[in-house]
Amino acid sequence: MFLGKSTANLSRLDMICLLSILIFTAIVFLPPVYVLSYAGGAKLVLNESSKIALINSFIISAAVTAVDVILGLPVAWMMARRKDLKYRYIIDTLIDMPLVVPTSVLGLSVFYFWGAGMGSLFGLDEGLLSKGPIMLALLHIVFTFPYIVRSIEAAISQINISHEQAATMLGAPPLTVFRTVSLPLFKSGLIAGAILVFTRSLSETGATMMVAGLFSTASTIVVDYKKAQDIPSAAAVSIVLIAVAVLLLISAKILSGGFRIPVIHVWPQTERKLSRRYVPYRDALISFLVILIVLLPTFYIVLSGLNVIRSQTIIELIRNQALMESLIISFIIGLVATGINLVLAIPLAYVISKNMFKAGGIVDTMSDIILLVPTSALGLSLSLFWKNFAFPELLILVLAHLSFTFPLMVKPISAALAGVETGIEDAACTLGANKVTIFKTITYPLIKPAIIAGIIMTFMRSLSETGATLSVSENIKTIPVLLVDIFTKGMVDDKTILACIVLFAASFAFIVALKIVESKKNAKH
Amino acid sequence: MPNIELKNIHKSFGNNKVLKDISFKVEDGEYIILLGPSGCGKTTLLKTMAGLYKPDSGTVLQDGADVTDKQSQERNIGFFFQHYHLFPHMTVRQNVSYGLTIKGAKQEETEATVQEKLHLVGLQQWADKMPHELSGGMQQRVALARALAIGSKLLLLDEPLNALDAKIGTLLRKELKQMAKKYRLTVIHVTPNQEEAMELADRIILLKDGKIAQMGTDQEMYQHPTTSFSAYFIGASNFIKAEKIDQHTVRYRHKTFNVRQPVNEDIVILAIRCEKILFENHEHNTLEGVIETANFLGKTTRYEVNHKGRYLQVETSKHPELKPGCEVQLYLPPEDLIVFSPQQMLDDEITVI
Repeated sequence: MFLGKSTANLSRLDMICLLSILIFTAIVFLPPVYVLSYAGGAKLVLNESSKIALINSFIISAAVTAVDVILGLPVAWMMARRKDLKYRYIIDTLIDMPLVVPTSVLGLSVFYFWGAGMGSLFGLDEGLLSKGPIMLALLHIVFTFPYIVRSIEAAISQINISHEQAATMLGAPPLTVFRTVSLPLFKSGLIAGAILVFTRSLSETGATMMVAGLFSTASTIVVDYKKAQDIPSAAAVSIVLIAVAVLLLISAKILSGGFRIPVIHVWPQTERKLSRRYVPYRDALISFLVILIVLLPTFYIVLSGLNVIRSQTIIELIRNQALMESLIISFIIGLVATGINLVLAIPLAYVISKNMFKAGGIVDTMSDIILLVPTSALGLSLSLFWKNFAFPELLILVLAHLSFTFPLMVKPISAALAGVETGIEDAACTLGANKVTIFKTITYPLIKPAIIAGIIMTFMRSLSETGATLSVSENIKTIPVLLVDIFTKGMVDDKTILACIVLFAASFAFIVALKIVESKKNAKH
Repeated sequence: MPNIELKNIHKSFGNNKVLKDISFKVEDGEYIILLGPSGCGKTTLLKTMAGLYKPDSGTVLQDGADVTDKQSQERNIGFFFQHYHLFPHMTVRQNVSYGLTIKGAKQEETEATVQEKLHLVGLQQWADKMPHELSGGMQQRVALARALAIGSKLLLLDEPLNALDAKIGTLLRKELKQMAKKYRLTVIHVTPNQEEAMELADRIILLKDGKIAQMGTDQEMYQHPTTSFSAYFIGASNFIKAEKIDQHTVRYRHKTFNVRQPVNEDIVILAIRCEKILFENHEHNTLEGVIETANFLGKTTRYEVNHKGRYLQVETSKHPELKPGCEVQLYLPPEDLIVFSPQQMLDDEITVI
């Protein structure tokens, strides 16, 4: 084996870690990439409509990424630099909301906003926009916006302001400083964010099905093929999606390393003028667009649906077996998947952060790959994999959720563990503590905020996922899947809206909890 | 030519008053040291002079013109940042040429200036390296070349020698001073290091809690400290709390001390430099004690003398025979005792015996 020492020399903790690696590989990692085993087969078919769907998806994702960068950059800049901003915590929460609200709820909200909401504003009964590529792009901007803002914000926060001041002292106007000094320094965060947005947009399924109409994208066509039992076609599209995701990751690494934004060419006069004149207009325009395109559509369903919160609707919702069953099942799957992932993630976070058995890098990359696989491809892959076993459907659903939520659990914990100085643990060791005591008294308190963050992220992801869930289950429907179902059948009524508001409120509660955990974590540093 | 003047500068960050009523003028060609302990507002003051911070009130004059509201990129000041802050994504050449490129200088002109400045700091061969490939000392030189390349005669330096090891730091001190004089630069240099200040400064401005504690040449500050803080921070001093007997006599622990300066309050603080105390026995101004420790510093030896449980610091090279345990008499000459009122003890760090 790759260990190079016999099992007799391994402590019990080592055994636990090894076992975790095995379980992780077999149950969490293998199923999402199972579809790749079809790659060599002669049965793959990439027909004309698949090609069109793929091209559609790429165009939409590219457009979404471009708009996100344009709108997200100023917002990220503000969040990174204006730490004293009034109501900062509120803006912070608003930005993160689309991240936790189930995309199917967002789909409904965006549809009503651009349809009925804006339509009535312009006196159009049919709505301002109908289902189709433009509404699809607007929806994707909404749920990808937090990714671009957070990635860029993190990178900008890393820049030492003195670099920019140095450029200023050398005579550079603000725009030149931004282009020649700041931008090259946060470029890697920008590229990472753009890739996240692109892959996320490429892979989203549930909400996409809601607003795409007759327009087909790669993820909707995978679902269609799956329904028609046309596995070779579905597999072909999935494999293309995975390949694109991997290619993007590789090119990102190359781009952020070697690619240089030219600094030699400067346009001092033009940039000096631009630096002065347009700043207030720019800020006002960006704020307007962010509110119109991202925030209002996100919250529209709550704002416009408040009138459904009546005792009668509540009773209707409680009595509605399908909705209540789905809600309960969603929560159960979420809790079970989160619990198992927590147990599995802690030893694996150790493996990653301490590079145990020299497998840290491999396990880390494996978690990255799971994150990268587009969920529609992931769903197909999972269903193909688990079909080989005659498990009950609920169990398969839990196992599927284990896979795609795992990275969200292990990433924050391993990052926190890597941040714990080994000196502290060594110090405890010299004071006579054994490994278990060290974990309980030293390590655990230090990584607790990361664990809580992991739990919340995992649970919310499980609660809101549609694409993979849709592919895996035939009969059992989680709440977001049921919402997609009801919507596409045109059966949305008051109690459905109320169910959406309940999910929205739950998401809001979770995001507030997450913010509190984060602020505690920051207070410690 | 290049001079800079501050008038009644105030600056706060939130509730924290960092600069309180700072006024001084720096003349053409002067080498000024802004000296003070960490947190005294030195860097804030320097950045305010550069326009990177805008003062809450007060005026900054550069070459006689009010520049308080002028953007820092239009002031043409060479600024050297603590920890250098070279642009990590640019080569040494690109770093040094940055300011000229921004100004739209011609390529040949830029290239010539870069060559000249890199030659000046002795790094011509390193032009195409990235900053992270250079040692700390080299990065420091590049940062200096970058600040000089824009052709400003006014140079603001924020702790330029601090991050370097002592040997290189001392070497670069000399080069810095020579360069400043050779090119007739007006330099304002921030440091917490008293020795560095004494070696480089035409004039020292001593800062304490956002205020100017004293301003003057090193000689003036050493010989005539006007605040107890200057006596404490510039050179090492002992502080003694004594009672007034008459205009020129005080009492400390049943001993009588004559002082040259007039005593105007019932309780006064006497300050005396470590190297002014002599191992001699006189009728007045003498304390007995036992040597507790002796630290050989090279040129001199620093003794810690225990006088009935209170400790005095004495520095001399004249008595190599004295060892810990020796009983000694300490003579505090009247002309070297400086009298301060207790209200002037504006610092908690100072130990008064």
